[in-house]
Amino acid sequence: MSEYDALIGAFVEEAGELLDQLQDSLLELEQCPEDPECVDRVFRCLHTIKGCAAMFGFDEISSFAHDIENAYQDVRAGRLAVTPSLVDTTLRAGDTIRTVISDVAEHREVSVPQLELDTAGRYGAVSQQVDREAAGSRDGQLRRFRIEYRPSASGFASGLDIAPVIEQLRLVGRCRVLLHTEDVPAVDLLDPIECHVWWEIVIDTDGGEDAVHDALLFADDAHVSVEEMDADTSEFAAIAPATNATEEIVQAPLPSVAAASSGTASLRVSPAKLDELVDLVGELVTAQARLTEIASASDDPLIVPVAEDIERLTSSLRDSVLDIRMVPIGHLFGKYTRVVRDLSGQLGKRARLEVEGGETELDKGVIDRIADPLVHLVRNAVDHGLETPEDREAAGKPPVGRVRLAAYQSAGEVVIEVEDDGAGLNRDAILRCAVERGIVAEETELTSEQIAELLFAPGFSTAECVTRVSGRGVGLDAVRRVVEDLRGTLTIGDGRMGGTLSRIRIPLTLAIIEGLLVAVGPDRYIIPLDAVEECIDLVAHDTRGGGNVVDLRGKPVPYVRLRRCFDIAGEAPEHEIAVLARVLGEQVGFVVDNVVGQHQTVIKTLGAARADRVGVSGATILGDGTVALILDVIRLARDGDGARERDGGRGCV
Amino acid sequence: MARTVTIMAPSGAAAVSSARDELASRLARGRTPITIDIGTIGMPDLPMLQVICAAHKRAIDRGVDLCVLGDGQHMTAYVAEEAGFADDASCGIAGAVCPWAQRATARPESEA
Repeated sequence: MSEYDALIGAFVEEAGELLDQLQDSLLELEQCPEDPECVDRVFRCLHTIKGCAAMFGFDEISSFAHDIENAYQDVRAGRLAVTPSLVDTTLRAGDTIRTVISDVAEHREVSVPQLELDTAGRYGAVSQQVDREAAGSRDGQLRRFRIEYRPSASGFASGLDIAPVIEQLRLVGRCRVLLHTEDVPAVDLLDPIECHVWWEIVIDTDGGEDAVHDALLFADDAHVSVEEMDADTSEFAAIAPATNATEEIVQAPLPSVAAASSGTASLRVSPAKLDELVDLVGELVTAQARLTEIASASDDPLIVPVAEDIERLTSSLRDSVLDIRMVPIGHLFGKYTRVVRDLSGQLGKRARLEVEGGETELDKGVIDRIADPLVHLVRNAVDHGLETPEDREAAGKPPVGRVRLAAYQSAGEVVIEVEDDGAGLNRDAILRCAVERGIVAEETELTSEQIAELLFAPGFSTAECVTRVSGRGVGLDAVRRVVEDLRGTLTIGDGRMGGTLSRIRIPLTLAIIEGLLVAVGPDRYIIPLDAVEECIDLVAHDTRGGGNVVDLRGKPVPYVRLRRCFDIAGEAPEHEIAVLARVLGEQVGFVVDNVVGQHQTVIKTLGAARADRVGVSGATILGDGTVALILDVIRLARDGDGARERDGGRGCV
Repeated sequence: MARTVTIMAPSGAAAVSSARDELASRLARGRTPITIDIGTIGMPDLPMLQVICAAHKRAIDRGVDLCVLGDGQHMTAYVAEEAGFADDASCGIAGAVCPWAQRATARPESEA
């Protein structure tokens, strides 16, 4: 990657994050149009986007952001009100900037005419509302203010720089700056990462106190006070004697040292580098497995302890690396606020997105891939779950519908729920539609869960059905496929809010898992360990009527014979083992010849030629260099023991 | 001419910690005058400036001469006009002469 590409990449990444922040702040502002802090946040985002673009040389973007920023400057000065139209315009302006940045990322020429057109066509409307001549905030009188700027103790860690603050103040008036170092301890007592200095600034301005406060808008992570001085007071005359100043500092409510040392310093690393690191750790895990196997075979007292140490270290390294890839899902959730807002507006509905568990962490790769299915579910909740405001009021509900997006961790999995407080599933209509489509026979008696399951049947989602059953089946089979490709599950049912609840369960990571290595004939398979509950000797238990059901302590448990499933030649041994796993809430057995043991499994995707192999979700390389297939226990359980070909797809669950 | 110790003052978190340790160690050991060369600082660095200030405080306490050497357009503008150094009143130590106010602009020979 060239230096220029790296620079562009940095800009695209930073600008993308800023635009996300802008969008979040705007959506918040829309809810609280009178909140000056919300206005300030929007202004700060726009200002930073402008500065960031200018710094990277994208003057067109900077200029565009500057125009919008001006509108919010007027809002802050009370010359312009926050209206839905203004928020909408700004959101679309953000989209425009995002599009242009996307052009930058793709090395396309930045479309300046497009920006100008947008400026005239979209922002122009805002500009007309602004009566800049009526500003009148400057009273023309020269006034003197004294500013105390006291950074927090962790200021250095968060990149404290006084220069931008002074630069902004100098735009407002004439400044004199004095650094106070009374609190700096002698060098042998100094913790160099702690900030002990503070500044006193005297400014003469005709812009009024608001202008001074505006200039200090970016003074984050600091305690700032502004007080007007008598204009005749000599510069820094307000400085208290050194001893008194020191006392004041001691009493000032600065953050504690502990807070400073736990600062938020972080390092930005590209996802590609992390992927490379995970790949390398994967290779290391494979090599370590080989070493362990050799050590076991040799029984050499010198090699065995070394192999054990390597195994322990590899395991720790694996956990650390996978932990680095974990990111909070809240960032993804934040994007759906806009989806709900825009879609409800288009549909003439009113909806509010409620987010819970945004701090729940998930592998970045999983988050990237779950984004689209979630959009689908959120759109379904608004489009088909929620009623119109009139219908809601007629049903005694508030006109504003709720869509709840929640995440939480549960035993090696992350559960994501999308729930609405609409009318819920219309099971009669779903069943009627399924019968009409020939998905189920007319006389079939189905449980409530089985009817909901019909929504995932391929072909269920026709335009006619969409109308008649509130469109609950739109693309759900496709959504489920994506989730299952992530080794997850998707179910739909009744929610606690009276509407519909879609629940996704996905594993924490896609890179390396703990697996149970099993053998069937000459082949080896991996069963994800988090699903495994116990292993039983098959002959020691009754099988019912010769069918694929084992009697486990009085409870019938269906099982799948991997030998038949994968057409493995040869006779099964007399004593087979059933590995009992929990799949979709049900217990299912997978019958194998032998259980080899636990195995750290580096997941490799299957090549195109084997990608569509049913019942297999990936592969891994074993210590001896052979390949083991990773079982897709959900599909195997659903399709059953080869039944997909023989009896029309009856499965275990 | 008195022997002097010249300490280069690069920027960056690790370098600041290292400079702090070096200065603390030198000031603890003896009374050899110390010259801190800021000529190697590419960009203004507040943590480094704070370390220099802290060293000056200990130097006053121990009677060690400490001065700042080196100059550059960025540093001069930053330290004096923006960071607000170079005012003898700022540290509150009576009689102290701020090293910024008296810093030299020529580089003397350094010796460890």
